[in-house]
Amino acid sequence: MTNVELPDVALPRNPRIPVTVRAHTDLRRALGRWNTSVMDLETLEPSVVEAIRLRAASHHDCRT
Amino acid sequence: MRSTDDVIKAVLQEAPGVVQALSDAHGAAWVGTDRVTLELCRVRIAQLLCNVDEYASELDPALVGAISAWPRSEVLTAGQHACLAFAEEFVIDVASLADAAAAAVVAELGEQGFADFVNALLVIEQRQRMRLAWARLFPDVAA
Repeated sequence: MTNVELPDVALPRNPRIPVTVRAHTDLRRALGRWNTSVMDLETLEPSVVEAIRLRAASHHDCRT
Repeated sequence: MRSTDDVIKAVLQEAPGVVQALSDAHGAAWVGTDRVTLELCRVRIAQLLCNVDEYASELDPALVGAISAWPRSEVLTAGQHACLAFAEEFVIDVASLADAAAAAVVAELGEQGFADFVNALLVIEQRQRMRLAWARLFPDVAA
């Protein structure tokens, strides 16, 4: 697996709350199923999905 | 006018697994967070994104009327102020979200409440963005 270097950002990247604090179970699991079901769509090229996922990960960094 | 649920089902009719997952996430989003506060944020997101199909709300009209000028509103609670401020930054530029905006929500909801709120906010924001995108891409289906 290739490591992706994130761009430098001016804001600190420390978690705002402890990483052990997570959304309630039903919501967390539903979000996981949503993510998995999209990644599993057969009509999408896996490399394209992964590129979009990485782009979103770098942009949607709310550190929560 | 179709509901956002109906638009999701219509556009993703060949991906029922995704539809179900989206529905489950949406249902769960409203469980862990105060429903009035989340509804205020949903409407504010609609206003910011010009998502006219989600402007309507069943909340007290006095609350709904306060949303667009929430910083000066005295009918909204401190917690609702904090959540609306966070929601605005979340929608406009999530990567630059200020620590102060997050800290204000934590102060009102606690750490667990903050985690639940942010995840719920993600769900209701993404649904609106999808609806807007699909209205452009598939106007016959999503209108």
